[in-house]
Amino acid sequence: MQLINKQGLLWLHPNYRNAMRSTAVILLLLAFVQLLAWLIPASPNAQGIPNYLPLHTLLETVSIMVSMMVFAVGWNSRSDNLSGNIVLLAGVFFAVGVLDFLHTVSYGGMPDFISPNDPQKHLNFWLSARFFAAVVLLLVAIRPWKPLGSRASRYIIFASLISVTALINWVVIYHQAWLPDTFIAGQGLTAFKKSAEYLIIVFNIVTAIILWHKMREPQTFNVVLLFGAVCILAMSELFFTLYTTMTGSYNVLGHVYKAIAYLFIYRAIVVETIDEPYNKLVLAQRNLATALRASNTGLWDWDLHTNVVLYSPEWKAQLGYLPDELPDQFSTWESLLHPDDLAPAKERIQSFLSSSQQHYENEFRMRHRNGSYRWIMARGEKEYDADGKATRLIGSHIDITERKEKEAETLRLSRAYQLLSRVNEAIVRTHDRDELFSTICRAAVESGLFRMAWMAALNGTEVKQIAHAGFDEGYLDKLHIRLDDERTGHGPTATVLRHGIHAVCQDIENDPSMLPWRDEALKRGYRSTGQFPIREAGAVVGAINTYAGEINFFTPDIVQLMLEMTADVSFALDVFDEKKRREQAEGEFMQLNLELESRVQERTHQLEQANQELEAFSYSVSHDLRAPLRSIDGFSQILSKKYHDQLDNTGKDYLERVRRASQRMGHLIDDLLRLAQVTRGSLKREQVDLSKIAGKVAEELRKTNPGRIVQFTFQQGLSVHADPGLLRIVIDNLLGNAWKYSEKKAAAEIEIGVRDINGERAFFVRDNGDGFNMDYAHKLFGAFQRLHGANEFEGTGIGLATVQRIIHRHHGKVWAEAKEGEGATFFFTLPQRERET
Amino acid sequence: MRGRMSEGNKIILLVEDNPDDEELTRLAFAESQVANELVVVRDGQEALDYLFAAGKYLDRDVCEQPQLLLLDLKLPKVDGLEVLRGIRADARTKFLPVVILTSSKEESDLVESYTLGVNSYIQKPVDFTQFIDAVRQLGLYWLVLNEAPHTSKK
Repeated sequence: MQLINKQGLLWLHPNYRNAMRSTAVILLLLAFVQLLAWLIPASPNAQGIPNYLPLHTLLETVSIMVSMMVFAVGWNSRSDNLSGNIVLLAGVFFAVGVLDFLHTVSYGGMPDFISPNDPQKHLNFWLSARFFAAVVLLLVAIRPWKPLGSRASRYIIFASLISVTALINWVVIYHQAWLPDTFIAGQGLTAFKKSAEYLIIVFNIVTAIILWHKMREPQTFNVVLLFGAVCILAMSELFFTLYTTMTGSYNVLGHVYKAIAYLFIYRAIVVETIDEPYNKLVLAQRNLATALRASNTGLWDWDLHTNVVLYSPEWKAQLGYLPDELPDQFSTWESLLHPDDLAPAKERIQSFLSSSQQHYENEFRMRHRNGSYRWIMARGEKEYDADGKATRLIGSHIDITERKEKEAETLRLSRAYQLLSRVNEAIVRTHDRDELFSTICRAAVESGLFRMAWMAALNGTEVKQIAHAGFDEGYLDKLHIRLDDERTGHGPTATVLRHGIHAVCQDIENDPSMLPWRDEALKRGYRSTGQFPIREAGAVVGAINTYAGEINFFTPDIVQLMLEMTADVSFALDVFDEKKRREQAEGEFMQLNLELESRVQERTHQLEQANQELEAFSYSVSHDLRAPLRSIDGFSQILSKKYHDQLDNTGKDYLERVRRASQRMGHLIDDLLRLAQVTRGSLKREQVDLSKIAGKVAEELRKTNPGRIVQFTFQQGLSVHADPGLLRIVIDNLLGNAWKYSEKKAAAEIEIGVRDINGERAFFVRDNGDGFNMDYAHKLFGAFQRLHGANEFEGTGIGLATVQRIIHRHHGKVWAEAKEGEGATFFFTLPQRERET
Repeated sequence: MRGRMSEGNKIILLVEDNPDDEELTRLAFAESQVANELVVVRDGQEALDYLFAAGKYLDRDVCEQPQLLLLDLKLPKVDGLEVLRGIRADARTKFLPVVILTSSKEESDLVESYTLGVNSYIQKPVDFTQFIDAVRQLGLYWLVLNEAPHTSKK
């Protein structure tokens, strides 16, 4: 159905159109020749070609040769997916070749072959060969183009075909009578013979139709050539139905056509089993080569017996060599291995060979022609001999340097980040520079980045080592760096400390700046080194020196991270400094406080001493000054009493003066002592009724001179918070003064009260006595200051000074207002507690 | 009154380094008609020697103790408070009436004296009239009115 649905019965798959076109041309040409041969009446000559036998033999020989070639090629073609159809064709053409040979030797005119030759004999051979070929061709066309079930099948097929051929041979030679007649001399071909030929033609046509049908789909075999062959075979058979004599032109043409058809089949087999696989192989090889080149894969093939290793051009190119530059020996590989990898790589190969493992894989470094090392990943497989012993090792080399470097770089970066994070952690946690530096060095080594790290700081022109960590082995003791030294003052560390720009030496072995330390550094496995400045307040104060175990270690990323780290450290140092300054300031402040405190203590001590001195002074005053006074007073009194009669009036007056003077001095001393006392001793404040005290004092005053007329006016309930003893002295003095200075008034008035002055309770003692000139008010409260002459009023001049001192001790104020001749008012305040109103 | 005050002719021991004061005290006693024998010693050590019959008073009968001790505080060698301490510490003089007669009115002296067990504290007034008055009252009280226990005499 599908066929009809497609573009007509003649529709072909595009794959076959071109090939079919050229084949069709040949077929049409052959058909045209056949048509001509049939239309043109056979000439009498054509009926009996003289000496036809050699011609026949030649044509058959060609045919037999082609058949054998088909067998030879088909049978020997090697391919895992060789179609069983090829085997069938190969086998049947061997049989056809054999039968055609028998046909040829049985031909009339040839010596008798076993049995006497006659036309029937060679026609039987002929027909059986033709049948054989037609049937198998039909079978090949029908059978799917796929391999045989097993390897033995080809032998079974071959044996079957040989057996059938032998059977035919036996029947034709020994029992020709069993077979129907094919040729009757004089009459020509029998009907059987003709029918048989037609049947073969039918087979061929059916085969051709099937093949044509197959050409509508892409096929795995050369269907066009098979189609052509079957068509030509059909035409060839047609000739054999036409001839009447064995030696006619039709017979010749039939043989020619048959040979052409066989050539078609031969061609089909060759294309199928030789050309196609070869082209595929070539293509595959080209693809493989391209792939190997593209993937930079080198191949090696190691013969374990001869130790010859075939290295592919790529293998050598990987290491910078031309194909003919490295000997194909196992030692070539060994000699190019990195010294560190040589032992482990050989060990790996040996253990692989002695193991039962099939697959080998390893990574190692190999020296490139330019001296650098390339990372190689090797893979391989064993090949075994019949005894199961490994005879070869075949494998590949892939250059994985880039990948390795990326891996290493990734590892390095991750370690660098680890270092950075550890340092930052330390910055936050530590507050001590030395500890921070030690931590940095330790982290630099422990992170796996560096073999060794140390911290440099300048001490004048000498470079000090203030911290270090890692594999040092006395290296640091051999540094001896001085900025002003010709030899060591121009190395990386000195340069960094001098200019503050980081220095990187990617290859210690070949860097002149590292010359003074090169040998010692290399001895300890340092291959590259980097120095990074550390600043404090913008100035370079040190450098971290790092040593890595490989050259070209300091990639831009690593350098960047190291610079970030040193920037962080520099920042931390500034913070430390700030903190230190603050602590110092705090320390100074504390020191100041302490000094202040000790100064206060000293002052207190001095004060106490002064107080003690004052005490001693008061003591001696009271004791030593009073004693002579007592003597003066006492003896002058006794003198005036006992010796009264012996003294005249002037003498008595003088003695009286002596007594008065001594008594005033006694008062003076008492007042002085009181003044001293009020300054000393503790202040015992309590609630005191001022009015009550004033009342008592007034009473005592009255007693001293009961004759005086004095009007006392006291505001009642004046309560103050004060030391009662001292307050008593204040009132004594103020009322005493008022009493004294109002002496001359006929009607004296003395008032005590309280007044609100500027929001403060001010107590006052007012009198209407003599008052004083306000110009001298400022002198009023000084000790020994008197505003009145001694003859005017008695007094020592110490009373008001004592009052002021007492009020001041209570944190109050005292002042006076007066007018000469009109009286005076003394005010004082005593700061109150709140509950007092 | 005079007769009573002189009764027994009891000794008054005056510890005084100032001869003026000694004389004034004698005068004051005379004025006040106190006729007891007045023994004067010049310093604290002498006072103690006298009381405990030591030094130059070795021959004295310790049992004969003065009726009254007038003690100045500010004394050479051993001061008045030390003397008082010594008197109160010894069983023989424990109940001896001691009157401090001094120029000092220092609070600390007062407190100390009473702490040590003084019987009276009198500041010598500058005014002789007042002094005489004070001595008279002193004599009246301590020599006439006051009854001392007699343990020390037995």
